[in-house]
Amino acid sequence: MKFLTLSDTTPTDAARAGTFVRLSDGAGDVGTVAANVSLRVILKDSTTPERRTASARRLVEMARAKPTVKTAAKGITAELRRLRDRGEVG
Amino acid sequence: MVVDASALLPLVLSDTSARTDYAAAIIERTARGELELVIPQICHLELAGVIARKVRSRALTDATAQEFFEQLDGLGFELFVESFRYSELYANAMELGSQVADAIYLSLARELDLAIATLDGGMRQAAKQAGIAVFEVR
Repeated sequence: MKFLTLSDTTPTDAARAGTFVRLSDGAGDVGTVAANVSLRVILKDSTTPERRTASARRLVEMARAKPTVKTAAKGITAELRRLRDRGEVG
Repeated sequence: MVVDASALLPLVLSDTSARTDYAAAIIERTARGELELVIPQICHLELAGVIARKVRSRALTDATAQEFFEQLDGLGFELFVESFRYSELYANAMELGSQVADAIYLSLARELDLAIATLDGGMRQAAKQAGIAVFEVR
Protein backbone atom coordinates (compact mmCIF):
# COMPACT_ATOMS: atom_id res chain seq x y z
CA MET A 1 0.00 0.00 0.00
CA LYS A 2 1.39 3.39 -0.98
CA PHE A 3 0.39 6.52 0.84
CA LEU A 4 1.11 9.91 -0.61
CA THR A 5 1.93 12.63 1.84
CA LEU A 6 0.93 16.17 1.15
CA SER A 7 4.50 16.99 0.16
CA ASP A 8 4.10 14.53 -2.71
CA THR A 9 1.24 16.45 -4.17
CA THR A 10 3.17 19.03 -6.11
CA PRO A 11 3.46 18.18 -9.81
CA THR A 12 7.23 17.89 -9.44
CA ASP A 13 7.08 15.42 -6.57
CA ALA A 14 4.28 13.45 -8.21
CA ALA A 15 6.27 13.12 -11.40
CA ARG A 16 9.30 12.00 -9.45
CA ALA A 17 7.26 9.36 -7.63
CA GLY A 18 5.73 8.13 -10.85
CA THR A 19 2.27 9.01 -9.67
CA PHE A 20 -0.15 11.80 -10.39
CA VAL A 21 -2.11 13.81 -7.91
CA ARG A 22 -5.22 15.86 -8.50
CA LEU A 23 -6.11 18.46 -5.97
CA SER A 24 -8.65 21.19 -6.35
CA ASP A 25 -8.37 24.58 -4.73
CA GLY A 26 -11.99 25.37 -5.46
CA ALA A 27 -11.18 27.25 -8.63
CA GLY A 28 -9.85 24.30 -10.59
CA ASP A 29 -7.56 21.32 -10.49
CA VAL A 30 -4.05 21.95 -9.31
CA GLY A 31 -2.79 18.45 -10.02
CA THR A 32 -3.74 14.96 -11.08
CA VAL A 33 -3.85 11.74 -9.09
CA ALA A 34 -3.59 8.24 -10.42
CA ALA A 35 -6.64 6.16 -9.53
CA ASN A 36 -4.72 3.21 -8.18
CA VAL A 37 -3.07 4.71 -5.14
CA SER A 38 -4.41 5.24 -1.65
CA LEU A 39 -4.36 8.59 0.04
CA ARG A 40 -4.20 9.20 3.75
CA VAL A 41 -4.65 12.46 5.59
CA ILE A 42 -4.20 12.53 9.34
CA LEU A 43 -6.16 15.24 11.10
CA LYS A 44 -5.77 16.10 14.76
CA ASP A 45 -8.75 17.66 16.46
CA SER A 46 -7.72 20.95 17.99
CA THR A 47 -8.07 21.01 21.76
CA THR A 48 -6.28 22.07 24.93
CA PRO A 49 -5.59 20.09 28.11
CA GLU A 50 -8.22 22.15 29.89
CA ARG A 51 -10.83 21.56 27.23
CA ARG A 52 -9.97 17.87 27.08
CA THR A 53 -10.47 17.54 30.82
CA ALA A 54 -13.74 19.46 30.76
CA SER A 55 -15.06 17.46 27.81
CA ALA A 56 -14.11 14.18 29.45
CA ARG A 57 -15.82 15.17 32.67
CA ARG A 58 -19.00 16.13 30.83
CA LEU A 59 -19.03 12.95 28.74
CA VAL A 60 -18.71 10.81 31.85
CA GLU A 61 -21.53 12.81 33.44
CA MET A 62 -23.68 12.18 30.38
CA ALA A 63 -22.85 8.48 30.49
CA ARG A 64 -23.80 8.22 34.16
CA ALA A 65 -27.01 10.20 33.71
CA LYS A 66 -28.53 8.11 30.94
CA PRO A 67 -30.54 4.97 31.68
CA THR A 68 -28.96 1.55 31.47
CA VAL A 69 -30.39 -1.72 30.24
CA LYS A 70 -30.15 -5.05 32.01
CA THR A 71 -29.35 -7.26 29.05
CA ALA A 72 -26.66 -6.67 26.45
CA ALA A 73 -29.05 -7.61 23.64
CA LYS A 74 -31.07 -4.48 24.35
CA GLY A 75 -28.09 -2.13 24.41
CA ILE A 76 -26.73 0.19 21.76
CA THR A 77 -23.71 -2.05 21.15
CA ALA A 78 -25.92 -4.91 20.03
CA GLU A 79 -28.05 -2.53 17.99
CA LEU A 80 -24.95 -1.16 16.25
CA ARG A 81 -23.93 -4.70 15.35
CA ARG A 82 -27.32 -5.38 13.83
CA LEU A 83 -27.15 -2.14 11.84
CA ARG A 84 -23.67 -3.00 10.60
CA ASP A 85 -24.77 -6.47 9.59
CA ARG A 86 -27.60 -4.96 7.56
CA GLY A 87 -25.39 -2.23 6.12
CA GLU A 88 -27.64 0.42 7.59
CA VAL A 89 -25.11 2.44 9.52
CA GLY A 90 -22.97 5.27 8.28
CA MET B 1 -5.45 3.37 20.89
CA VAL B 2 -7.90 2.92 18.03
CA VAL B 3 -11.50 3.36 19.17
CA ASP B 4 -14.49 1.68 17.59
CA ALA B 5 -17.82 3.51 17.52
CA SER B 6 -19.27 0.77 19.71
CA ALA B 7 -16.98 1.88 22.54
CA LEU B 8 -18.19 5.49 22.37
CA LEU B 9 -21.93 5.16 21.84
CA PRO B 10 -22.65 3.92 25.39
CA LEU B 11 -21.59 7.38 26.56
CA VAL B 12 -24.85 8.78 25.29
CA LEU B 13 -27.13 5.83 24.47
CA SER B 14 -28.46 3.10 26.71
CA ASP B 15 -26.41 -0.01 27.27
CA THR B 16 -25.55 -2.22 30.22
CA SER B 17 -23.79 -0.66 33.19
CA ALA B 18 -20.66 -2.68 32.40
CA ARG B 19 -20.52 -1.32 28.87
CA THR B 20 -21.18 2.18 30.10
CA ASP B 21 -18.27 1.74 32.53
CA TYR B 22 -16.05 0.59 29.65
CA ALA B 23 -16.83 3.70 27.61
CA ALA B 24 -16.37 5.96 30.61
CA ALA B 25 -13.01 4.36 31.42
CA ILE B 26 -11.71 5.23 27.97
CA ILE B 27 -12.68 8.84 28.46
CA GLU B 28 -11.30 9.07 31.99
CA ARG B 29 -7.94 7.62 30.96
CA THR B 30 -7.79 9.96 28.00
CA ALA B 31 -8.39 12.91 30.32
CA ARG B 32 -5.51 11.74 32.50
CA GLY B 33 -3.23 11.63 29.47
CA GLU B 34 -2.89 7.84 29.60
CA LEU B 35 -4.46 7.31 26.17
CA GLU B 36 -4.36 9.04 22.81
CA LEU B 37 -7.40 8.17 20.75
CA VAL B 38 -7.20 7.35 17.05
CA ILE B 39 -10.21 6.83 14.81
CA PRO B 40 -10.73 6.08 11.13
CA GLN B 41 -13.18 8.28 9.28
CA ILE B 42 -15.78 5.54 9.27
CA CYS B 43 -16.13 6.13 13.02
CA HIS B 44 -17.53 9.59 12.27
CA LEU B 45 -19.98 8.08 9.78
CA GLU B 46 -21.14 5.43 12.22
CA LEU B 47 -21.50 7.77 15.17
CA ALA B 48 -23.40 10.35 13.14
CA GLY B 49 -25.56 7.65 11.53
CA VAL B 50 -26.60 6.00 14.77
CA ILE B 51 -27.17 9.30 16.58
CA ALA B 52 -29.29 10.61 13.70
CA ARG B 53 -31.45 7.48 13.84
CA LYS B 54 -31.94 7.92 17.57
CA VAL B 55 -32.85 11.60 17.26
CA ARG B 56 -35.32 10.81 14.47
CA SER B 57 -36.94 8.11 16.61
CA ARG B 58 -37.05 10.57 19.55
CA ALA B 59 -34.87 8.34 21.69
CA LEU B 60 -32.39 11.21 21.95
CA THR B 61 -32.82 14.96 21.75
CA ASP B 62 -31.07 17.09 19.17
CA ALA B 63 -29.53 19.13 21.98
CA THR B 64 -27.99 16.04 23.56
CA ALA B 65 -26.69 14.87 20.20
CA GLN B 66 -25.09 18.25 19.55
CA GLU B 67 -23.50 18.31 22.97
CA PHE B 68 -22.18 14.77 22.56
CA PHE B 69 -20.40 15.68 19.34
CA GLU B 70 -19.08 18.92 20.81
CA GLN B 71 -17.61 17.12 23.80
CA LEU B 72 -16.10 14.39 21.63
CA ASP B 73 -14.38 17.13 19.62
CA GLY B 74 -12.82 18.35 22.84
CA LEU B 75 -11.02 15.06 23.40
CA GLY B 76 -8.58 15.68 20.55
CA PHE B 77 -8.98 12.60 18.42
CA GLU B 78 -6.46 11.81 15.72
CA LEU B 79 -8.58 11.18 12.63
CA PHE B 80 -7.32 9.05 9.76
CA VAL B 81 -9.01 10.02 6.51
CA GLU B 82 -8.17 7.46 3.86
CA SER B 83 -9.21 6.70 0.32
CA PHE B 84 -9.04 2.93 0.24
CA ARG B 85 -9.03 0.94 -2.95
CA TYR B 86 -11.75 -1.69 -3.13
CA SER B 87 -9.05 -4.33 -3.59
CA GLU B 88 -7.45 -3.26 -0.29
CA LEU B 89 -10.77 -3.26 1.53
CA TYR B 90 -11.54 -6.70 0.17
CA ALA B 91 -8.11 -8.10 1.02
CA ASN B 92 -8.18 -6.76 4.58
CA ALA B 93 -11.68 -8.09 5.22
CA MET B 94 -10.82 -11.53 3.89
CA GLU B 95 -7.55 -11.72 5.78
CA LEU B 96 -9.08 -10.59 9.06
CA GLY B 97 -12.21 -12.68 8.64
CA SER B 98 -14.41 -9.71 9.35
CA GLN B 99 -16.77 -7.36 7.63
CA VAL B 100 -15.24 -4.58 5.56
CA ALA B 101 -16.22 -1.87 8.03
CA ASP B 102 -14.74 -3.82 10.94
CA ALA B 103 -11.57 -4.43 8.96
CA ILE B 104 -11.00 -0.70 8.55
CA TYR B 105 -10.70 -0.33 12.33
CA LEU B 106 -8.70 -3.51 12.74
CA SER B 107 -6.23 -2.90 9.93
CA LEU B 108 -5.54 0.60 11.26
CA ALA B 109 -4.81 -0.78 14.74
CA ARG B 110 -2.59 -3.46 13.29
CA GLU B 111 -0.67 -1.08 11.06
CA LEU B 112 -0.07 1.42 13.87
CA ASP B 113 0.60 -1.39 16.38
CA LEU B 114 -2.07 -0.02 18.70
CA ALA B 115 -4.69 -1.68 20.87
CA ILE B 116 -8.33 -1.36 19.93
CA ALA B 117 -11.21 -0.39 22.17
CA THR B 118 -14.38 -2.11 21.07
CA LEU B 119 -17.46 -3.62 22.63
CA ASP B 120 -18.44 -5.45 19.48
CA GLY B 121 -18.12 -9.18 20.01
CA GLY B 122 -17.25 -9.95 16.42
CA MET B 123 -14.62 -7.25 16.25
CA ARG B 124 -13.08 -8.35 19.56
CA GLN B 125 -12.80 -11.91 18.32
CA ALA B 126 -11.30 -10.86 15.00
CA ALA B 127 -8.82 -8.59 16.80
CA LYS B 128 -7.62 -11.36 19.06
CA GLN B 129 -7.21 -13.74 16.14
CA ALA B 130 -5.14 -11.10 14.35
CA GLY B 131 -2.93 -10.52 17.40
CA ILE B 132 -4.34 -7.05 18.07
CA ALA B 133 -4.61 -6.15 21.76
CA VAL B 134 -8.12 -5.35 22.96
CA PHE B 135 -8.56 -2.66 25.61
CA GLU B 136 -10.00 -4.10 28.80
CA VAL B 137 -11.22 -2.42 31.96
CA ARG B 138 -10.01 -4.04 35.14
